[in-house]
Amino acid sequence: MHPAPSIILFTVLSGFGFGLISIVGLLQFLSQISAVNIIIFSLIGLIFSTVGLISSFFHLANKKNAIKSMSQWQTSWLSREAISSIFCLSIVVGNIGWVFIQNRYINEVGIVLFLLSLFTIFTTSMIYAQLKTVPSWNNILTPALFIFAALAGGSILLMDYASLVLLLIFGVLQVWFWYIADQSFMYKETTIGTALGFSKNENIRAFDFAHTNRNYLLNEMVYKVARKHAIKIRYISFFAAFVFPMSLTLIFPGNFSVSVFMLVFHLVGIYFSRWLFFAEAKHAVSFYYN
Amino acid sequence: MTKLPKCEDKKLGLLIDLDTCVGCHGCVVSCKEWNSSGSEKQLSDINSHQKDPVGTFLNRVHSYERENSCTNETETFYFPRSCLHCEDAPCVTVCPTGASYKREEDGIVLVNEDDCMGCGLCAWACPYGARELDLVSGVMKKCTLCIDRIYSEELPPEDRVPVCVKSCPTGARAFGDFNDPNSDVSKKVKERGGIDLMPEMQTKPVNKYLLPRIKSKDSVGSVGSVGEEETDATGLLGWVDRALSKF
Amino acid sequence: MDKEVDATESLGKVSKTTCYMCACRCGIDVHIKDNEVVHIEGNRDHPVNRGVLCAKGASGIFQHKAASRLKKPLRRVGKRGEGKFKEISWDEALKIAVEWLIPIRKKSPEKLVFFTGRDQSQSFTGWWAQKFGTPNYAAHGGFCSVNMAAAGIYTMGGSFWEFGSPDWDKTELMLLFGVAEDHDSNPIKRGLGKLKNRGAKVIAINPVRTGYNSVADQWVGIRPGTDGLLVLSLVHTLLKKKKIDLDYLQSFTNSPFLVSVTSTNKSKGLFLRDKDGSPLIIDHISGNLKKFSDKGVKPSLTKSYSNKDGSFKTVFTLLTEKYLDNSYSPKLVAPQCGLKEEQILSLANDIATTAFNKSIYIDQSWVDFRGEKRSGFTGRPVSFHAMRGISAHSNGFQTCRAIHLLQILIGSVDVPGGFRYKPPYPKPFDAHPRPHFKFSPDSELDGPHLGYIGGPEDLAYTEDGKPARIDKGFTWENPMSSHGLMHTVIANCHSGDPYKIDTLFLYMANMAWNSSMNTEETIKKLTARDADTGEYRIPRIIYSDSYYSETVAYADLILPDTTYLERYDCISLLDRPIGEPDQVSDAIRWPVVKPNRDVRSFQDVLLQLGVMLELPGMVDSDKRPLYEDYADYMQKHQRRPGIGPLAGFRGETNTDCGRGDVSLNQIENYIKNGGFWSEKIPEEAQYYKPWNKAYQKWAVEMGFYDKEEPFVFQIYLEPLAKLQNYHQLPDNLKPKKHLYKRIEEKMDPLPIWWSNHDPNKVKKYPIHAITQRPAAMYHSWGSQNVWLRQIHGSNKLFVSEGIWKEKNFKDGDWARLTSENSSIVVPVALMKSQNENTVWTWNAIGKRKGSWALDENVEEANEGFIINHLISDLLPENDSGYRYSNSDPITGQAAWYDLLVNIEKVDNPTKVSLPQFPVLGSPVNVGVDKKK
Repeated sequence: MHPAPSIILFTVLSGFGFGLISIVGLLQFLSQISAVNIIIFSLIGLIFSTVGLISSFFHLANKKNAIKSMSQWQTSWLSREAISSIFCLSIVVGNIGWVFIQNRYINEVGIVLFLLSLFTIFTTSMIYAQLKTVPSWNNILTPALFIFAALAGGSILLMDYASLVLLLIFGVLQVWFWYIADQSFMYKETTIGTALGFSKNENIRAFDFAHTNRNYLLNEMVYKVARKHAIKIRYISFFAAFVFPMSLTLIFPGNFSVSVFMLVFHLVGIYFSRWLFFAEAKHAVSFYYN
Repeated sequence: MTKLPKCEDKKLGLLIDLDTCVGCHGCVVSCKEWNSSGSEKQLSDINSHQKDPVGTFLNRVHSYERENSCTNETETFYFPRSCLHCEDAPCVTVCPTGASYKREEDGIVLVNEDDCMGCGLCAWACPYGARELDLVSGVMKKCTLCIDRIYSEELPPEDRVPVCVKSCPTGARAFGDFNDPNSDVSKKVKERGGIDLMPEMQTKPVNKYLLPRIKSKDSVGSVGSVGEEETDATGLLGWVDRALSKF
Repeated sequence: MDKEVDATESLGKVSKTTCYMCACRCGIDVHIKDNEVVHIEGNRDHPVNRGVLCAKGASGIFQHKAASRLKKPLRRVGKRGEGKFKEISWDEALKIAVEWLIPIRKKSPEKLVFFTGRDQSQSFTGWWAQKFGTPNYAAHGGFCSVNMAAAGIYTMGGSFWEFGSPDWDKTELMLLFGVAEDHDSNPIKRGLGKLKNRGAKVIAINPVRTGYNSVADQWVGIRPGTDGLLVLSLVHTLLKKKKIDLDYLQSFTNSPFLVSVTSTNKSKGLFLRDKDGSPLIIDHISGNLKKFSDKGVKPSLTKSYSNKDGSFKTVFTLLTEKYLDNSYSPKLVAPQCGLKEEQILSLANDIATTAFNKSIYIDQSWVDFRGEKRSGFTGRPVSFHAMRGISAHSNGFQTCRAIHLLQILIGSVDVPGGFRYKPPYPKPFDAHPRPHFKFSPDSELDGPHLGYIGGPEDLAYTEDGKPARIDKGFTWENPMSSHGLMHTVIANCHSGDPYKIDTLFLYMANMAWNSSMNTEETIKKLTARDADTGEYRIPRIIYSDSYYSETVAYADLILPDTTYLERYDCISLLDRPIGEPDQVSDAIRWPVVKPNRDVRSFQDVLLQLGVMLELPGMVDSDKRPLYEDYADYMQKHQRRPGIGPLAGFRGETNTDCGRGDVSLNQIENYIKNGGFWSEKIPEEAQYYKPWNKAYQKWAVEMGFYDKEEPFVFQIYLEPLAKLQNYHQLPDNLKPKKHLYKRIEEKMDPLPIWWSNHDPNKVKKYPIHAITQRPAAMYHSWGSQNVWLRQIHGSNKLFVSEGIWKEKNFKDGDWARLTSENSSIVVPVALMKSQNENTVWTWNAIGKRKGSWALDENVEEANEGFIINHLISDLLPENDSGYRYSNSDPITGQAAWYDLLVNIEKVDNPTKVSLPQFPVLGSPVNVGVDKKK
């Protein structure tokens, strides 16, 4: 799949934003956070998720109809995501306002925000996980990875050892995801044979073009990244998103400035992870162009 | 509505015969032409006279080589690819705006361009590459089964078929109701074994494909069956003489 | 696309005319709204396509609206080939042309050389040239398919494609030889669909398995240029197994004719004839000499005859002796063709069993040419089709003849299930005109230029023994060049051989690019200057085309033509007809939209020039125009009394067919009828047409000819024997000595095969390189087309698996192809299903930078390529130092497919194919995207 910057930014930024909101919500529920911090970190979460959403808006080819995306919640994960994120962000705004005016907070709102933002991240992940056409996405690891990436990111500024646990889960999921994505058996059902109506084990190759230049399908869904290149990026991503923050947390526990530094690294790592998430994903349509 | 209807009445679609298709691209261009020539029906082209020309097409024809394990020969075949109007069309259910829909009355999958926001998710959801986002209008384009032809009251009745079917020079494309067991397409599917593309995707395509028939490397019957015993020139002339005398 | 409403009303009104994308000439429905073409689809009623349409036809809208259309007459201002022009008015353009042409006609009309390319009005352009008086006229047939046409006409009065087609409804086995998506494309595709539907078997003989060959039930991946040998091996096998149709051979062919075999006989090789010249045969029953056409005779196929002049053998005996020779045995032939013996035996088996075990009989009484009643039509349901893969070799004429021989031996020509003629064919070669070439100042030529020679007496030499034609057509070098040799014209004009010319006038022929062998050299010749005078060696070039092709840049005066939707045309029976085996048809084009540029139809312009030049037939005695324009000509012109360009809707009431008075409502009636006319052949006249009284009578009524022309099939082609008898001629008429051997070897009156290649050359250049025309494109028109260039925007060289592995090629690699002539650097791709000694590519996709209103960085110009550079227009020097044209020695057909190359892998970091040429300047702007 084409690693479109607008989509990658969207999943990275809004993922972190909602992750932060969910952590704030959790801490609010557990009364482990000050009212000021609720306002500050909710605002940060709000900004990141909004910027992410705006970025995704730029991915749309016909922006004037974006508002209609809230209409199909019954079947469409993208629609659910739109509704859920708007709903969640409205509550965040309400919560900030309430805390700002009242200088106190309602614990129960925290758990609502925690769940709602997690759900929002889940809907985002399901946009990809639902696609049978991309087997490496079409499994439970996709939502798990998205959720724990968000939680780990969200926790870096606000938690110490809990953050370590979340990072660790994220790290394990990430490696697992890559391991699974590498397994060719993911494509054992779909082959060029089944794509063309033959049996699975056919030796078929395209010898001439259906069209000699790239088109929308090729630009969007047939992206080739060299294996060597991909492995390199995996190392960078894993180091930046996991190893580095993990080590710094262990070395400088509870140091906020170090946390900010770690977060930047983590998000860069997540960016690379998401880039690979798309670039390495093989869409079924690529069989037609093998 | 992106909820999939139960199409109990009709399932309109195409039957494509890979045994007959010669890969001439006639359907590709006819389709492009019908769907871009009238007003409001535009499939754009970019860089028409420059490097990297790219345009929206609703139908493409691929060329493949296949190793036939029975004959050890490499065969070539052509493969027209367009929307299969699936019963469980994933492109419809993923659509957030409701632009994608499947018609209850005949099962045709369409895009309401007035609602489409051009997110491209439906194209991602389609395993067959049947949808192309038009880069100029920013909305998703796909095969409509020439709905403006098949229900036209102006066209002569025999022309009320998708334009790819009408134009196909070899007759490798047929159009009909797959829900009606007596339709020509249903009968052919039964007779020759109509195939679903990527059945594992569980999309239940309405369009079916007929695979290339088994090709013979050499003719059936042994070489000796050409006829009588071999002869030389003298023998042949004698035989001719005798035969002519019988006329 | 929520178009649940009827959108057809937005498609405007329908005008029915004729497509021009290829030579199929399908009927099209053009939808027009506000004088704009909005949609084109196939015409359901049209006999050629019955509603279907190919990619070329369906993209006609972009041919019509092409950015490369010329807009106004142009006068060259820069050097030739720079592409610098100034626009001039039509008055000025015609004035210039006439100023050039008047003195030529007055003094030496042969100094006008007029050749047309994609001309679909050859009967008109030829007539114009005849009236002008130049012998130098032909269309593009010489580099297209004259081998096919001439072999067919000479052998059986018709050939594949325009002259006939398989009996799609009844044939059980069809063999395709060397057919890519090419001529007669939609009828063949429709036919193949029918065969597939019925489960009839299709066998494809072709080095490359694409298109039709890919759907064939069996593919024979033959080595290019060896088809003739394969076919003769089939002949050998069928004879050996006695699987031939004796009744057919005896009744309808010259196999009982008696050929002089005594070498001292002056008429050696010729038929035994009576005093009136009628061929004689021996009656099988009485043993007496009889005329073949006598009632009641049963010609013997085997009995020999002797008289004072020597002995005579039947053609059948000669044929038997020749083809039963072991050299034609499948075992010896197979390796030469790159095949296995079993493949040949299997083909023979299929042909024999289908022809004789599945024969058809149609109960329909008919009367043959002897006046004998026959009770029905016997059919041999084996059909053949062959095209350029056969004809574009220098052994193509004999190979085509071999295929016809095979068809005839099994009795499958014009019979149910076999090959069937399309009216106005069959028409034997001697019912066609002889070539005419006698020119004199200020007068018209003595007759039509092109035709069929009967012997050396018809060859085109002037009184001083020089070739009369600039292309050396109808000379000993290529005596049966019935379509001329357009591919030699530029070289001969350049070298002033056989004489100097003044003006080269070309129409729609991309000679400076993909329509020339040795393009680079051709370009040099177009621009070469005389060392003494500094003037161009080809002094003047006038060119007419609709588009800015590569060739426009080399002309001095350009007459911009209309597009096919803006013009009148007639698809005439006098020309290359359309029609199907059971009906005769012709058609028109008419301006369904008006041009939005200052362009004129070329035919109109020719008439205007004709009037200004006061050419006979174009002006009356007061020098007033006889025809207002081409449309007027189409209605009013008569070739023979009652016979005009259009056969339908003649006479006062517009009800006469074929023959009839001129009608001024004729075109109107064509338009009303959907742009075409057709008339069904009577039932009893549907088959066995050459010998069928009912057909012959009907053909005369229709005006195909003026008296009945029954004929026998020329298994043995006597005109070739006459050429071989050259030593009987007076010295001044004899061929040059260096041609003796060639004439003796190649002009065998019975089909033969020879290898086109010298074994030493094969060692150096072991690989065949050929092209195929893509289904979606045709000539150079396709790759300017906005839609088609997205399908085929560049081409690769397809390399067989063996070569791919040997040279260690990988995807994305480049190769240098080298021939005796030149070398090119091109991208490669693997294709397994092709002959192992072969590489191939799509034809005419490569473009020269600056042409066709394409940006100079397009893929067509950077990556795309043509292999024409590799093909020499002349063969290497022979023993006597002479360089023959790279053509068939009999017909002069350009031997495009004789190309041999070697291949090597090269680094090409620039990813640009070589050679590249300077960017052409352009009088048209690069196209811009259509506004939404």
